Amino acid sequence: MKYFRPNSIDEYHELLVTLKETSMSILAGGTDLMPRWEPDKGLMPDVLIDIKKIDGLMGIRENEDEIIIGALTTIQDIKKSILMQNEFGSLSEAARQFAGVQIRHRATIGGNICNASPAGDILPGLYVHQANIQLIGPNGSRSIPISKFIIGPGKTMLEPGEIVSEIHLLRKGVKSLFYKLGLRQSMAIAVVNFAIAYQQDSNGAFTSLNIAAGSVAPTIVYLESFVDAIMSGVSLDEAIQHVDIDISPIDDIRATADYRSTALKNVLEYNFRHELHQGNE
Amino acid sequence: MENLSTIGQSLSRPDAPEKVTGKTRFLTDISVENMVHGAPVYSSIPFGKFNNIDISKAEKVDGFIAFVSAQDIPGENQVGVIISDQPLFADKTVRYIGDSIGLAVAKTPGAALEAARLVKVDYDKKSPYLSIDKSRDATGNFIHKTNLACHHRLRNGDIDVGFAEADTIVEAHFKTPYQEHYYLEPQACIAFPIEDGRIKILGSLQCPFYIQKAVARIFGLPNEKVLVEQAPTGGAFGGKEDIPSEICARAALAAMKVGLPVKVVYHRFDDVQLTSKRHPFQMHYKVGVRNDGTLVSAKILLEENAGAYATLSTVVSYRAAVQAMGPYVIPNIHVDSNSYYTNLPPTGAFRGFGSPQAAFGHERMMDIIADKLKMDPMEFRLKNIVKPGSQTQTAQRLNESVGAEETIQKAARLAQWNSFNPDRSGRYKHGLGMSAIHYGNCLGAAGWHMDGSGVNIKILPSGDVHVAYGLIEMGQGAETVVTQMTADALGIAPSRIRVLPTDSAQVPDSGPAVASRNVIMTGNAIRDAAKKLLPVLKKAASELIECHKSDIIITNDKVTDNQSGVDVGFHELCDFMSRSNMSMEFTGWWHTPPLEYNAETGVGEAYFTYSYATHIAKVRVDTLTGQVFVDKIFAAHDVGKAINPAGIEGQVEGGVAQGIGWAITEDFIMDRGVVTTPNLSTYLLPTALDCPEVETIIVEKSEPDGPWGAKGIGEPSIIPTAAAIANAVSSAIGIQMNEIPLTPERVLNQLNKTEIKK
Ligand SMILES: Cc1cc2nc3c(=O)[nH]c(=O)nc-3n(C[C@H](O)[C@H](O)[C@H](O)COP(=O)(O)OP(=O)(O)OC[C@H]3O[C@@H](n4cnc5c(N)ncnc54)[C@H](O)[C@@H]3O)c2cc1C
Repeated sequence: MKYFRPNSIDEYHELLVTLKETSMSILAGGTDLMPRWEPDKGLMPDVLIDIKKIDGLMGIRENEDEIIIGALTTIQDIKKSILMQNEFGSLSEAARQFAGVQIRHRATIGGNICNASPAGDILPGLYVHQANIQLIGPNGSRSIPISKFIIGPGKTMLEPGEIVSEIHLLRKGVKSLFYKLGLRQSMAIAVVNFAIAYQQDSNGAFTSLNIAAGSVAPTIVYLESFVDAIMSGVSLDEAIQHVDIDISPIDDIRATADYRSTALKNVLEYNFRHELHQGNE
Repeated sequence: MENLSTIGQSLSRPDAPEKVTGKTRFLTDISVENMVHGAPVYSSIPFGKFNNIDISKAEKVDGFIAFVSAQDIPGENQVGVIISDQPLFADKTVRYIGDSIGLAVAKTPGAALEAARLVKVDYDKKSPYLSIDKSRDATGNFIHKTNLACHHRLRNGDIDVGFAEADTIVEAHFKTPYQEHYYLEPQACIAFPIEDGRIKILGSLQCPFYIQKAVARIFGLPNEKVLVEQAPTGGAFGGKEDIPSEICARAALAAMKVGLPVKVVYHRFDDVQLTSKRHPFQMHYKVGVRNDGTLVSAKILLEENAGAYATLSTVVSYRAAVQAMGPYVIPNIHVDSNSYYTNLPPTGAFRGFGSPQAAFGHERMMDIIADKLKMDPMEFRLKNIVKPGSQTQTAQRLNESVGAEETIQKAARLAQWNSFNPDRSGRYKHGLGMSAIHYGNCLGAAGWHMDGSGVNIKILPSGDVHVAYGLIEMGQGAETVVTQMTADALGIAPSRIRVLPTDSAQVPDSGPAVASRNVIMTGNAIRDAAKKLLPVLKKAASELIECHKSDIIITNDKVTDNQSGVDVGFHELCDFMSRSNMSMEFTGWWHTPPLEYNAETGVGEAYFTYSYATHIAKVRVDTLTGQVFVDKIFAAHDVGKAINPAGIEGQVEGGVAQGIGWAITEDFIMDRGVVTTPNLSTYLLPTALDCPEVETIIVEKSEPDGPWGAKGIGEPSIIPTAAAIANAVSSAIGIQMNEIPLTPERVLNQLNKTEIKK
């Protein structure tokens, strides 16, 4: 295996032109990539390009309208950020419940996005805040909403040679929360996770509402039918039944589809009743 | 009264600095000159026959050296440790996915694996038995001569009379699952051919003398031609009791064939698929009780999934049978304990050895009965608990060192058992659950013939003392307690003592390092050696100081003439002895006391003494998801005498953590004999966040036959935990949870079922 570590985007693109090897991997924190290698079975990329030293892809910046997170920002940095805690509660909370301390220091937000796992914990928060993903490639840069960028389990719109450089979040004063259900208290892949972003008027009525759930479909999904039902004013008991229209869970080693659906509806309903004060408490 | 300066202190572990700084060299770190590598070739079907092994593709792998299989065995193709039902290499029949076909040997571990994968075997498949029920109900086409691997029974009193006397009879079914040891270091060994025809084994292991015998049997050699040395061992928990015998024997066979040292290290996937686990149990309890809460009669059926080979099932089944009703007085009891063969990985020794399963049965049962009688579960237990003078369920009279009652009382006081009154109206339901157990120390009547252990103590001219012992350090702190007991037995400083790595050439066969027996066996052997050694030291000292030998006192590392007050350092005495050409090496031996036991009826003295413990679990159940959170564990243990209190706390916290795993997170899943949870991301060990604070309470009811009064702690620490948690959950949600693991899905399903019924 050949290992390269470009120091800038330009160096990275120059490198791409010279490489002839067929199998090539981009390495950020390596926490998804490296567990998949099986050197004894020859399951290794021919070329590894470590992007960790590329300038300017790390850290959280702000301007008046946006918060911009570099793709190499670690989950630990997101967890620590007061800015994220204040304005993007769901992402801050997802980072807090992410893996364990060692992994949080290695794992990056860009890696979580590009890995496109149906259970990725950072993703529901990005969906509900309608994050835009900034890409840089040999032919320039482009920006895609997260829900368009991820197209299937492990599948994204990344073109060959493209990398994710930044994540853009609009500062709209939307509140959000995150929930994760795992089979143990840390180092757990979500059996269900979800994020809710909302704004409420002084009477507690929603002026905006957005919910995305993970581990219940091939990608993170918006719970659109449920949100529509809530916004149209039907009772919470009735609205919650719409969740099953939005999701398509499967049985796997961790849980059955039935369990995922039931647990999601139970906790979602509870959150609406007790955290968001909808329906009868 | 002996002067104890080291025993009772929390001496730190001599092996700890190297382990925590990563300096310890485990087998994976060790390579020797000319070493080659072996990789297992194993059956890909659960049950069937084969005729031909095709290695033509494997031979072409770059670095391939040899392939060893049944036909290479000069002696007996047999590795069954108690029942001779397990060929070392399959002989035409395979009985589980993992059954050994051969060992591929190559220059690198990668080449060996590659070659192993390319070995082709054509099978005639048979329909496999994948559950206890299927195996029990079979009428032909058995896995071995029969599908019943072994059977133990207990017939004490008259249960019909007992049930007739009972006011209430309660019946229940329980199920406990597999548990995978998940020692951090997988199975590993190196086998070396020695020019004179002997064989040396260096292994990650628990029972050097089992390996010695197993390897000798394969070659038809006398035991002493096989030398077994233990490498630093990264955890075992029972999983390195019998399994290393297979692996070392295969490596030895390969080493002798190719004339080079052969190393075998299992990959985690293979380790999980091939090696032993905790027996799954299904249990049926029928218990009769009087209205005042007195137990009068019990009929208990325990059924165990033994997997493809019996391995240690007979002793697991024995222990479960004699402990099936727990630390309670019950005059009439019948127990049947049956282990069934299945076409699944063999089950064997795992910390507790059938006891955690039996404890789950009797302790869940105690709570269910208490609930029926509307009695407080603690009061119900105290009403029936064994005390000095009581008889156990096998009619064994207990005289001394019976701390059961005290463990219940102390744990309950600390947990504020009597004032627990949670608000159960919200989303989270809180519960407190209790579980009390007894654990027979050492091998008991079933293993009495091999229940002796030795030490060899060598005094060096420098004043250092080397101790060789026949049991082992596997992470439990054996070296520390051996150091402490030697120091106090001789009256010297622990810093003088070095405990040598276990080596079959240094000590006689001391039996297996299992059954929480190290402190008792090695401690008593140390005392035996000291009894021979002290007079020699005193005689030498009297010559050195020129005084009467009866006036010599050795204590606190000083050798003193009690008359004149003159003293010399222990090292000066050793130097004098060396210069005077005196004997400086002493052996000690101890065998457990004789037991009167009737194997036919199961009545009698099953073990010479018992450890007792009570755990109380405080839990919280999320009724929306079924998740169980353990908020606290109170653990009271009667250990006779705490040789090293910190070591006991370590064992208890570790045992509790492993118990929490078995009770909640560790869901071992197989699909038609293939393990589908073969790694740490699918087989979920509890993490630090899953393990709450553990309050350890040490109870010391001195055992006359224990060294300094001590009894075992290694296994008792895990035995009560799962039952305590299940009891707490059942009480929290008002539903009897009779099967573990208590995964969120299992708990939520129960909650939903009851809700629908409401
Ligand atoms: C023990 C453990 C626990 C875990 N726990 C959790 C958890 O609780 N929640 C959770 O969501 N995940 C968890 N994960 C998964 C993983 O840590 C996360 O998905 C993490 O965010 C991946 O980031 P990384 O930087 O390590 O990615 P890498 O492994 O370096 O990369 C992942 C993939 O993305 C590509 N990639 C990475 N960065 C870029 C980029 N900027 N542009 C283009 N492609 C890129 C890589 O080529 C690769 O295909 C866990 C993993 C482990 C090993």
